[in-house]
Amino acid sequence: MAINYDKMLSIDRRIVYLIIALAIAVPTIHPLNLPVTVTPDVRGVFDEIEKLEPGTPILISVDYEPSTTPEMDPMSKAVILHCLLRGLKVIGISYLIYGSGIGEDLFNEVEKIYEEATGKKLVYGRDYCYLGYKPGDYAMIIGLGEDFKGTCKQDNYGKSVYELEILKPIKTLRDFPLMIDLHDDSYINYWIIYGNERTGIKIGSCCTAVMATGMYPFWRAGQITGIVGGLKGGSEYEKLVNEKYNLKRRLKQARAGMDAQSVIHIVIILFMLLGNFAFIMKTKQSKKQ
Amino acid sequence: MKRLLLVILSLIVIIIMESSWARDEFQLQQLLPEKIEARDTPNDDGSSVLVVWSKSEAEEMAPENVQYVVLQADSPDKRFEPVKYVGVKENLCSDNPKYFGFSEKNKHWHFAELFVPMNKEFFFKVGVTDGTTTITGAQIVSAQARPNLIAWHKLNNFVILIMMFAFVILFYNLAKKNPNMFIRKIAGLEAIDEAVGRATEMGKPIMYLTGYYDISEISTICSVNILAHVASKAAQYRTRIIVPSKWPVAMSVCQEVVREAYTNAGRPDEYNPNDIFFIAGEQFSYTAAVDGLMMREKPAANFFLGTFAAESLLLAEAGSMTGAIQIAGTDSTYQIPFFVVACDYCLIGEELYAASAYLSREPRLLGTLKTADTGKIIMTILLFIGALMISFHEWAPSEIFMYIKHFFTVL
Amino acid sequence: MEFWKKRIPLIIVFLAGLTMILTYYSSRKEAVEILTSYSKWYQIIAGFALLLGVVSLGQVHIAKIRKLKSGWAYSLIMIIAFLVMSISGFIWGIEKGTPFMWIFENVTTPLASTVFSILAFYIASAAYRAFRAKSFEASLMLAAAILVMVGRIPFGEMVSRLLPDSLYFLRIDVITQWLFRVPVAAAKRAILLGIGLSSVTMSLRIILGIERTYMGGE
Repeated sequence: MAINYDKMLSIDRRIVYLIIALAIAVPTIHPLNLPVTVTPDVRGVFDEIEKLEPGTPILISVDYEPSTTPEMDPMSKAVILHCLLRGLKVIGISYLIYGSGIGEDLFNEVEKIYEEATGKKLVYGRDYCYLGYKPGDYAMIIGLGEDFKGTCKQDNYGKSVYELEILKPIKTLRDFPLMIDLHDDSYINYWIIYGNERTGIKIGSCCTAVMATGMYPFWRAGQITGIVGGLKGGSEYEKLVNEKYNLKRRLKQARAGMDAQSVIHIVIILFMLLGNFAFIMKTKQSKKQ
Repeated sequence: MKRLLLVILSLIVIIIMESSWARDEFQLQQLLPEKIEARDTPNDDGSSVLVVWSKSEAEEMAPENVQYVVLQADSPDKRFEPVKYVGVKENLCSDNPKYFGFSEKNKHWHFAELFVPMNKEFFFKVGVTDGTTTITGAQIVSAQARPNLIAWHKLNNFVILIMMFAFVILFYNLAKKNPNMFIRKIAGLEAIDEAVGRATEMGKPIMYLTGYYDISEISTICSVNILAHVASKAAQYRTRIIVPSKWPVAMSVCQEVVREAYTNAGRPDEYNPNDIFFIAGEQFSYTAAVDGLMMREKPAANFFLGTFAAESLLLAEAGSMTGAIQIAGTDSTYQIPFFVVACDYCLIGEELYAASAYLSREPRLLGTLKTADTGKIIMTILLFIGALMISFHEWAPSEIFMYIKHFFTVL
Repeated sequence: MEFWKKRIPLIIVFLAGLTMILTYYSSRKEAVEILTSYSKWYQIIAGFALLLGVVSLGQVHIAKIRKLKSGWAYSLIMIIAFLVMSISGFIWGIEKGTPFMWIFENVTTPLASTVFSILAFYIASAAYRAFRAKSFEASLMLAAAILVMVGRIPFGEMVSRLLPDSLYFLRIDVITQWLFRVPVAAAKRAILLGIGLSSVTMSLRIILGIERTYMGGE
């Protein structure tokens, strides 16, 4: 029976979509629990946080949109939780208007996880705070470098930043040895240009997988301390936090997503191989004819 | 007898302890810096001063709890208060080339940056502490924080800017004299006329997107420049051009450019401002709307030129479903792979910036393209020299190497 | 007319561009203030321009509904959604717990996530269609794509562990990491360098008024 390679090459897109949907759904429902290995890119962010003494302030910028929350949330939670477990004073902010709600939910959820994991209570305004969206684009970052509180004025809930105990020792961005940018676009460029270059604040990048490849030149040049990219980076970070702090409730959201990602990668590779097989066979066939 | 023994034993213990204290104090004293200096922080806005002191050889033997301490006072007669603690192996001047450059000597000096009110003199001492005992040197130094008008650490950047300025003017004038400058073929730009022609033959519209960002981005301006060319072709061939926009400002600029193109083609009445419209500022609302528009209008040619984010493949793949010829161009390095696989032509990075000069064939614009090329040649040579110097710096005179390194480092 | 439409904007572009360049080379607070005030001005002007966008949106969709053009129902949905969001925002504000925020969190956000998630399907179909070993370069790209896709998942690491320690450098995850750190970073750097130089040239062309296509006309 002759195989119709033309048909194979122009396979109906809907068949591809159906297989992809199944490849995502099945491992999400039945996790495979595949092992995770930690890469140096992720360790770069983790170790930089570990180097900080308890009580040191750290800035976390929530710069992603609702559409990327499934990919960004797991790593964001792991990083914020890590900072809190380390005893750092976590100050959240956002460059994006969407960050206001996303950051609020994120901090609330991490607070719950922290309390469940350690049995200790966090105090808003003393252990952490969320300043929310601050308008002004890059001018906002420049402003933070000049006068942190004057630029922020209020936190996400309308409270004056001058009343927050956690911000008492903070004058400018220079008072933060490190910041972590949780981003799904190139907003980190602004933090590098106007934050790192002007004030010397170190920056760690937590981004979507698509963005991660673009972060390598910055990492190699020493402009960022490390990269936590996509669900893969998130799962590695979860592993590091789980192991270091021996959590009662282990973090596993990103790892669960990695199972689906593993299957989908294999399916796409199979598609690519199938397409190439059909292409080569068709070329051979037409040469014979 | 027992009492005598007890007294002797106590005496021995006291002597041992005394000697150990004496040794501790001696060590702390050993650490006291020989030279101390204070100065205004260079290249800053006047918010801090720097105190620098020479490194002591005894640092290697210093226990972990020993630190340097910088003490500050308003006047030399007043009490000096500790304001900064610096670990014995921390804050070497060589760690901060922004303030101290790359000299080898920096490895032998410590520094502390102290934030003080502007234009007021402060006095400093440097001491050593082990947490319980603090000893300070007699030397007092003073400095005032002053704002610096010029950021000298950006001199390297300024030199390159001036060089680029000179090249732009030089090539602009050269192009006036010799209008036939060589420029390599860019397939994506060559295909623009073909794409517009195809749309005309099929009687279908053209869709043009200027990207994710507003007109304040250079890439969007470049895209608008290409739009001017595409719109003038479309006006000549009487083909409808649709420009859905994500930003109102970019939309009004696009309207102006397309209107001008129709006027120049002698068909101002055929210009329809409703074909250049605002959709939504939200990324995926915009993407969904444009995808829907593609499905309904079935444009024969799609242009995706500008900076794009995660929507790139969503747009390009929807376009490919409708069978349109697709020309993309972006400076967003993350999105280039998506456009490469899903579009017929893709302008990579700088090709997008070269487009307006390439399409207009205006000799003076073409001439300025040579500026970027010359810059690239210079950069390549510098990269090569830099790589050689990094690889073989042990054999090069180190101070000269450090100076060159300093000049080519972004601080 | 030429004076108002071309000369004045060119003078503004030149002065604004020059000021921005000079502020970059100064450390004084005043320079930072100029820089931030420019950004604020832009945002204020862009805020007014939003009105232009809303007018454009209304014109296009109302015209479509009136003429009952194909897809007019979508335009109607758009107008209704626009009115609901605007009115609820004006009446109850946009804080958490208000109807505006409820719609944003429960309608806009899931819809945006849905559109984004379509990317997974499109990547698969684009990969199937486009990754063909047509030439040496295309084959190289195909091989790299497969290696990276396997190397970025736990499965790749599991397979790699079967290799003895002496062949560590052949592990797929190690090759993937190397691809990211060396060839990918090098290529991206080269592209970025080209973009950087071209954008400097383009900016100078705009500031000096050599490039003015964006103002209309060539």
